[in-house]
Amino acid sequence: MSGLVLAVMGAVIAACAGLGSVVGVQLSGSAAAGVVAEKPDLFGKMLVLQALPGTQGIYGFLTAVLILNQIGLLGGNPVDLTVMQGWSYIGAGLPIGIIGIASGIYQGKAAVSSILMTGKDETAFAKGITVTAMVETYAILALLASILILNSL
Amino acid sequence: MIVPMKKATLIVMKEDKDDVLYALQESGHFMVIGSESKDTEEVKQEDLQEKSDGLTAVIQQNETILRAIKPYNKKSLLSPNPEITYEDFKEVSVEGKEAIETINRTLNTMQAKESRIANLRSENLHLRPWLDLNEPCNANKDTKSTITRAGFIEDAFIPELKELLEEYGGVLTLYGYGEPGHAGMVTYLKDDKEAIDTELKNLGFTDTALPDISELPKDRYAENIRRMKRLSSEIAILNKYINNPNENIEDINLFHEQMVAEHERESVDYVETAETVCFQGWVRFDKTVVIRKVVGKVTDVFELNFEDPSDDETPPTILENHKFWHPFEMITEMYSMPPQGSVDPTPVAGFWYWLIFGMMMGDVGYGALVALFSLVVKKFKKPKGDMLRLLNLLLYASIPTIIFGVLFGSYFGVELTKPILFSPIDSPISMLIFSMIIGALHVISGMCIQIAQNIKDGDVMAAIYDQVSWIVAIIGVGLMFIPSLSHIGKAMAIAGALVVLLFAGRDRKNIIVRLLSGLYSLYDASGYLSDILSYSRILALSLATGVIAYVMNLLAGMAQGAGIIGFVLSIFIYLIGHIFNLAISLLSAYVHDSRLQYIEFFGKFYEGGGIPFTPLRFDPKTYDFVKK
Repeated sequence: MSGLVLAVMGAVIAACAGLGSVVGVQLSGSAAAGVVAEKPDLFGKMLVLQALPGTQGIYGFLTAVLILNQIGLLGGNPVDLTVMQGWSYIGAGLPIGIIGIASGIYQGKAAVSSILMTGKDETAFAKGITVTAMVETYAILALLASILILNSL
Repeated sequence: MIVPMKKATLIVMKEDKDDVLYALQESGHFMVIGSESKDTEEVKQEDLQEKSDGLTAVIQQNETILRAIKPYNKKSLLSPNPEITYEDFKEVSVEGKEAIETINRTLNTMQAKESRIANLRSENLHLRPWLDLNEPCNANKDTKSTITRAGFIEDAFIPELKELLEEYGGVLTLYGYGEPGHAGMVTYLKDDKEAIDTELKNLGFTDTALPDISELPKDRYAENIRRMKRLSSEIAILNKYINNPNENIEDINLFHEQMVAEHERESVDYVETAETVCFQGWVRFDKTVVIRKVVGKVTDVFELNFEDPSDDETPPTILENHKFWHPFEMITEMYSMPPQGSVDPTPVAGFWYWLIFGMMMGDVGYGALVALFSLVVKKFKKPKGDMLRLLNLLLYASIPTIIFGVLFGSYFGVELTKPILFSPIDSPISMLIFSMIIGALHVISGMCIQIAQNIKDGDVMAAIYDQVSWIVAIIGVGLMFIPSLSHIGKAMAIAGALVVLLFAGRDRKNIIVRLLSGLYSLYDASGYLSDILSYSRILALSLATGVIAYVMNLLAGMAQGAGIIGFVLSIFIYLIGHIFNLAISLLSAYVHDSRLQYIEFFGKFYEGGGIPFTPLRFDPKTYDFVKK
């Protein structure tokens, strides 16, 4: 049964990608609030930019659900796992867990810059989205790695 | 498609200037530009500048007032703007002007009353320590031989002060406490003035002047409190008048829109001579007749010329595509307008945006919800402009969302029908391969546009060596993964790479430098690889949508097990959960679909840098125009 505990730890690690989003969304949220105080009309655009670093949390969560689903915990019939197999699930959770935290924080910083840019010049909104979304590429690649590992287990 | 522009030069008599400008603004087809021949005459006269400044002041005042009364004049979210004909718009709204002035007067009165209250409050603060004084504030307290000084002193020094006065024969009367200390009056003989004044200074006695009023302090104090109460209640009444829906709100809005439009007209640049004025600007090639007719309606005396733009001019861009692609112009416009003479990428980019959006969302239920939402808002709100385009974009994008929902067998995250293709959650690898194939096709279609551009520019060699070679190589690498075709794939990949190696450095004379440059160009392969890998975000987003929907259904299912309360709870989970997921998924799809167009697709051929066409026109935010 100890394999199952390890697999659950794998899901926990994956879900920790949310930490990155928490910091990122907080950073961008503070900047967005500052801009909205001066220009209330920009609220919609600010909301979009603020939400960008939030996706890492979703990726981490979805990996966690996929892991829990695969080890049968969600269906209520847990699979009997060896310790070795359990460690493999930890491996599956690691890519999105680690890179999710880092990319969430740094995407938050990129979002802050884009928010300030959009605050100064509304027409720069699309460019702001694009530069901020560049950071997310690596979270997506990490999610891909996690899913590929999970799929081969 | 980019609409060609004509440069227009319009000369009219000075007295017709205002009417002609109004007519041009009403038509909305004339983009006035600053005149080039600045040295002919002073462009703007001083009184005109004054008029423009005056309008700016009115507009600012209107904006302040509209902001102040906005919370009390909210329209319901789904109600459309009121309609107005062009005739009615021309007549400056007197009711609106008066209503604005009334509100402004009220606001000013309120401000005056508030500052009165502030004054009274500070006077009372000043009077407070002296409430026990039993003579009028401004009474002369000196006698023939004595002096009386009012002031403050610290409690700690009072015994010393008393001692001092006993010595010289003076009197100290203490009153209440104020901010600088204990209030008190010192009376002493004029003969002792010098000695006592020095001592008082040493003890830290600070003089104060009582207010110059002929009432007792306590009477004045009570009177002030009464006055403040009355003023406060007056302010409350005025406040109530403003903090209520204003019956003239539509007139106020109209007046404001009219002032904004007038300011637009007044800001127009032109050149004038003694009798005439001359405007220069851009007009769509198919609207020249309209402009001639519009000006002809105002006056018979005018001179209007249209000419093709010369090479050193940069005409503005306006896009015009088939009705279906119209909303997707937003995607191009947000990135950058194509300059005149280049290709409008909207139809191709629009198609891919449309398709990839559907893949990212991929759920029948969500597609139907989005379609329903846009239809309802369109029906009731009757939006115009960008809002309408956004709603149409959502409406169109709901079609592939539903199609891919059927293909993936996903209905609000439930597998109601067997998936026709596959389900992304169960077989993410198939979805990954599918995403990358779509990505390769997307990138290749971008390169094909560059091929077309190169051929149009007469550079067939560049098309073959720089684009076709890579397309062959990319397709070759793709085919290598299919066992039965891997030989052909290998051959294609090698052939493509060879062409790049040999010809990428074709402008170099030295054969070794040329080969090295070709080798360096082969390094672009990593760029194409990362471009195509980037399309794995389609998988990521479709998984995110699917898994969160699945989790919401799971949670609701758990709740349903717990009796009636559980059943009610599950309905809430279904509602809130799916709406939340839909909002997040829409946002992600919008952002990442745009990014794929901007970086991976536009990067292959598109430069942008055009100026948008912004004609002189009416653009009211709170009104919709109707033909009568």
